[in-house]
Parts: sequence; C-alpha cells; structure tokens
Amino acid sequence: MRSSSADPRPWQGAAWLGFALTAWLPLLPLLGGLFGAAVLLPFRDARLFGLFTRTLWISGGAALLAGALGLGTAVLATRTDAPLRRVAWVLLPLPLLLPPLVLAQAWYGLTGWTGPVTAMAALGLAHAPLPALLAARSLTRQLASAHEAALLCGPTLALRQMLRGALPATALGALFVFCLTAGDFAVPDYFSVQQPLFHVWGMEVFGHSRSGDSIGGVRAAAPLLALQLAVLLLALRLQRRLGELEVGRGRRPAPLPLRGASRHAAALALTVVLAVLVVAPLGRMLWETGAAGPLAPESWWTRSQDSFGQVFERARGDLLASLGHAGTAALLALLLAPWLAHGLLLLTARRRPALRLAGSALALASALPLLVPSVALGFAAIVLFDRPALRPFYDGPLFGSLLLGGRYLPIAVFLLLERMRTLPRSPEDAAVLCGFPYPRRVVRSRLAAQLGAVLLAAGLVGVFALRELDLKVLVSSLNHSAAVRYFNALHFARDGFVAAFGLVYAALLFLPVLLHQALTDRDRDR
Amino acid sequence: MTPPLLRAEDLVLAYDDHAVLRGASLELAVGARASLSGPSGSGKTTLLRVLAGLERPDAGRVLVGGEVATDGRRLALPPWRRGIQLVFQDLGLWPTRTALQNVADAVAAVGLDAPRRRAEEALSRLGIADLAGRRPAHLSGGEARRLAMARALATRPRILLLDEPFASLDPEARRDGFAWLEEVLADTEAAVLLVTHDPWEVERLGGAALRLEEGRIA
Repeated sequence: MRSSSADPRPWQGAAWLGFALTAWLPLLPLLGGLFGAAVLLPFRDARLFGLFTRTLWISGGAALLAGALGLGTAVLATRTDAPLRRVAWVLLPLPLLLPPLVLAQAWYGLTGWTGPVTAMAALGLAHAPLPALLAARSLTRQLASAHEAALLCGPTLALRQMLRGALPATALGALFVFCLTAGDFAVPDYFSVQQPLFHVWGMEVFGHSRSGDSIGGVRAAAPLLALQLAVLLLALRLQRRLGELEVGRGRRPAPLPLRGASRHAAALALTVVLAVLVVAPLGRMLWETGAAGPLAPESWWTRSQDSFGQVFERARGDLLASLGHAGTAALLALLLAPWLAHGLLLLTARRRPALRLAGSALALASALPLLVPSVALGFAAIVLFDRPALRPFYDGPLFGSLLLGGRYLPIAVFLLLERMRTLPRSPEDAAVLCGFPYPRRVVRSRLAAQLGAVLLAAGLVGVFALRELDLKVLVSSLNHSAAVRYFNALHFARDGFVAAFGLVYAALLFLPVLLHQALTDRDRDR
Repeated sequence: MTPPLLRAEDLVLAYDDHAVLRGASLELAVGARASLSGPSGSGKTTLLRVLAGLERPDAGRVLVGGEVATDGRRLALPPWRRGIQLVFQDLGLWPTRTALQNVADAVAAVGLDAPRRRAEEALSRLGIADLAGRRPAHLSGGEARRLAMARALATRPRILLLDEPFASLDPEARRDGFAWLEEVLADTEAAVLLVTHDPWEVERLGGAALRLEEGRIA
C-alpha cells in the first residue's frame, strides 16, 4: 500500500507557497500597471517617445553585439580544437557575473568614450557571455554524430552546420540580453553623468525614487514590462525550435581540426574576445588601484596595496552585509528549488495535454520574477510592503534577502529542472514502487546524482544576489551593501579605492564559479 | 604492388585506465567487403572513429591509399580528406535540413557537381524520393536509415564504414533492411566495413569476417 508520506502534494504545495510569497507576491502591484493606460506612456509626448526609442536601440544594439560575439565564441570554444578554448571556457562567465557598472567604469577609464553608443557597447560586452553560454550548451546537447557527419564531408559544411545549430540558442540569449539591458539604469546613468547627458527609460522609472513616488515608479515601469513580456513570447517560440535540435545524448563530438592560417585566426579571435571581455577591463581596474601622477611619492605597488587595504577597512561591513543577503538568498534556493524543479518536471511530463499545458504555463510564470526590471520590482516591493503595519519586517534584515532570493530563484529552478530531465525516469519509478516517502524518493533518484548542480544552483542565486545593484539602491534595508557603496563611491570619486573595491567585488563574485568550472572540467577530462 | 586502400597498424587507445584498443591492425583492399564483430564495449565503434579520423589513437598508424592519415596522436589527413563516410549508429542526420538538403549539402561539400540532381538520384535509389521535403524528425526509423545511407553513398566515398546500421531493429526488419543494403552496395565500388553482432549479416555480406577481442583483431 502506498504510504501517505509518498504523496508529493503537501511538499509541492509548501514549495510553491514559498515561491508565491517570495517571488510572485512582490510583482503584484506591477500587474495593475500592465493592464492600464500606463502601458501607452511612451506615446504620450515626444520626449517620452524619444526616450523609449533610445532605450530600444541601445538594448537592441547591445543584444546584437552580445549575440555576434557569443555565437563565434561558442562555436570556437566547443566545436574546434582552437588554442585557448579551455581558458576562454573558464573565463567566459566572468563578465556576466560582474555588475555591468563595474565594467562600464573600466571601459570609460580605458577609452574616455561616453554617450549612448558607448553605453550600448558596454552593455553588449557585459552580457556577451549569456548568448555564448546558451549557444555552447545547445551545441553540446545536439547530436554529436550529426556534427561528425558534416566533418567527414568538409570543414565548410561542418562550420555551416555548427552555425545553424548554434543560431537559435544565440538568438534566445540575445533576446534575454535585450530584456536585461532594457531595464538597466545604472550604466546609461554613469555614461550620462560623464556628459553629454542622455536618458533612457530605466532612468525615467528610477527618477521617481527622488520624489518618493513609488506608485509613479510602478506605472512608469509598465511599458518596459509589456515590452519584456512580448520578447518572452518570442523566446518561447525559439525554445520550441531548440527542442527539435537538442536530441543528442551528451557525447562530445570530434572537434573541427584547425590547421595553419585557420588555427592562427581562431587563436587570434579568442585572444581578442578574452582581451575585450575580461583582460582589458579588469587590467585597467588593477592599474587604477595604484595609478597617480608621475610626481607621486610612492610606487604603484605601495599605492595599490593601500587601496586594497582601504577596501577592507572602509567597506568590510558592506561586504559582509552583502554576503549575508547572498547567503540567505542561496539558502532559500537550496530549500525550495529542488522541489519546485521536480514539480515542473512532473507536470510537464504528464500525458494529458491540459496538464502539460498547465506545466508550461507554470514554467513561464516562474520565469517572470527574473525578467522584470529590478527598478520595477523595487518600486513594487516598496508599494506593497512599506506600510506601518509591516514596518518591522520591511526594515528588518530578512526582507531584502527574501526579495533577492525570490527574484533569482528561477535561475536555480530552471538549472535543476534541466539537470533532472537528463536523468532516466526508472530510478524514481523504482522508488515509487518501494513506497519511499516523497522527499527520500526525490533525493535518492534525482538529487543525489546531481549534488554539484544543486550547490551550483544555490551558488548562482547567491552570486546574482550579490551582483544586484538597482534593487539595492531602491530598497532601504538593502542600501547597506557592497553594490550600493560601489555605486556611490563611483559617483563621488574615481580613485584607487573604487578600482580596488570593484576588483574585490569581482573576485568575490567569480571565485565560486571559477572553482565549479575547474572542478567540472577536471571531472570531464578524467 | 598496390598498397591496401585502408590499413591500420597497431592501434592503441585507452580511456583513463581502460585500454580499448591494444594493437588492433586491419587491411581493406579496393572494393573489398569485411565485417567486424565482437562483444559489446570491445571498441568496434572506437576503431571505426579512429579509421575515419574522428578519434586520435595513443599510438599506431592509419594509412589511406598508402598515405599516412593518422600517426599516433597526429592527424596527418583531416577526416574530410580521407574519402571515408561513416553511417553512424544514431545516423547523425542534420535535424534542420530536409532529406534532400541532407544529401545535397554533403554532395556539395565534397566538391561534386550538380549536388541537387545527385541528391535526388540517391534518394530515388533508396526508395525515399517522395520524402525529399521532410525533415529527419518526420521520418520513420527505417526511412531515416535509408536517408543516412543515401547521404553517405551520394558523396561517392572510397571507403564506407557502417556502424551497426540495423542494431535497434527487430529480426524481420533487420532482414528487410539488409536486403536493400545489399542492393545498394552492389552498385558501389567503395570498400565496405560493416560492424555487426549478427552472424547472419556476416555471412550475407561475405568477405573477411574480422573479430575484435581484447583490443586486437582476431
């Protein structure tokens, strides 16, 4: 007889309630704006229309740049034997994990360029790893023998097949880049402060914080939200296309052997990509930690050490507070994401079309907290929770962490859902037949084999919570954080402290991922 | 004396500590037929991949038409310069291309003229001309097998490697499949190496019956 503890519904109910409270509830005030006249704000006058179109072309350009760079990098890193491909693979996620503002300040330092085109380029470079990683992931999930069949016919056909295979995932990544950059206010704001002045829609939304008009902020975010929902629908169409392509079994195909000029060209291309995305901006920041005029009395090394010393002296509290927020967000992901992912797996695998459809709709709704612009989420959370009755909770340490955790929880859910899908169903069926309690059954058949993925999922939620800036600037209980201190320091000065702070922040964000990459690469090579 | 079309000398290959090939050698003459059998996991597929240049051995050589194609870990001839086609176990069809495009793309890539006409002829020879506009996902298992064979043959390879092309079929379907394979192979001048577990197929194909055991060809 089936024991009552084998029933997944109580566990699933509790997990989805947790998700609803932390991820969906803060979005509620935004829905009102979506179905009201606020969606048409860009068409109210010429200034707003200009603002919106500028936002569109900056985000569109950033998405195109990120897509173009990502496509080439993914193909070179996964399907060829180009030199540096392993280094590229390990370092590639770095820019994505850094706040775009950190990279923007480095690029301004390097080039001195400003204006909307520079903002577009900085946003595109900061997000280029997203299409690259999605395309690379898609290529590794495609039939290895299809690539090898092309390889037997010639390098041109092999290359064409690789591009055909990588293009849908690249386009999907570019759409996500569009969504992420359309709501960004910090990078355009930074370049605008350097003159000439220009505005984008994210800054229009954020501007309401100066007058304390949170409801106005929610209304102003409506057009961005509508735009992002439209893009999400486009992304879903591409996702279906990807499903047709990704029918492989995870075997690594033989790489395209590069010889002579093509080998040198590939090495050069990867060097340029790494230099532009990682080495140049971080190198510039490192130089800035000890930069001073030629008559300065101390050496660069001494000044640099002093800058890093200042970071740990002046910003230690902010860094620790940020780690606290990130740790709580990661813990939330650790507790909820495995069950949420398993719930989606159960629903989307159902035979009845209505249930499968419900599963897809739930998956779509689960992605929403991630795609909503941070500034919009910040205003919505203020409207909902900044009330006298909720004041202790709103001002307390847990509120901000839960808000961050709920926003980035979908990353963990979708990562685990994807990993669970790769496992055969039979071990879980065997556990059902043995009458295992539901949690034990999931742990035994799905999570035990994917422990690394569970930790990576929680770690990524923590890293993205650490990286978040816009939300932390708006929500008062999150103001005391490394991101906000960096934002403020950058706007008041441009000195060794800011550069050293940016680098410490970057190291903090990237170390867990570097460790994971190195470990998984070692396992793969074994 | 004419050198053999394909010659493998003392191939050695190990994954981690597990030795798969331990000095495997074989020869295939122009137009020859040979079958290769052996226990599951004995390295038959790995051997085919080494011959095709898709895998690099730790030691040993592969010569194609007397020319060194692989020398230890060095790939002297890339896979596309060997005149070898491989029909994979999972067929390796290109999912975004139609049946006709799957064949025509391959024909054009190897540098033959009139790829579309040749592709139509190949599909017609394999009895799937009416499926030219379909993508692989919309073909049955048997139709997809014919398409993979049509693609391989249309490029006019010197050597055709077949990796258990009927492995997943029931006995009756295997017999049917082998019947059309025999018909198609009768028209080709390519040397053929067929990996199979089925003694019946070994007997019907004729030629040398090779067996891979403990990493060596018996």
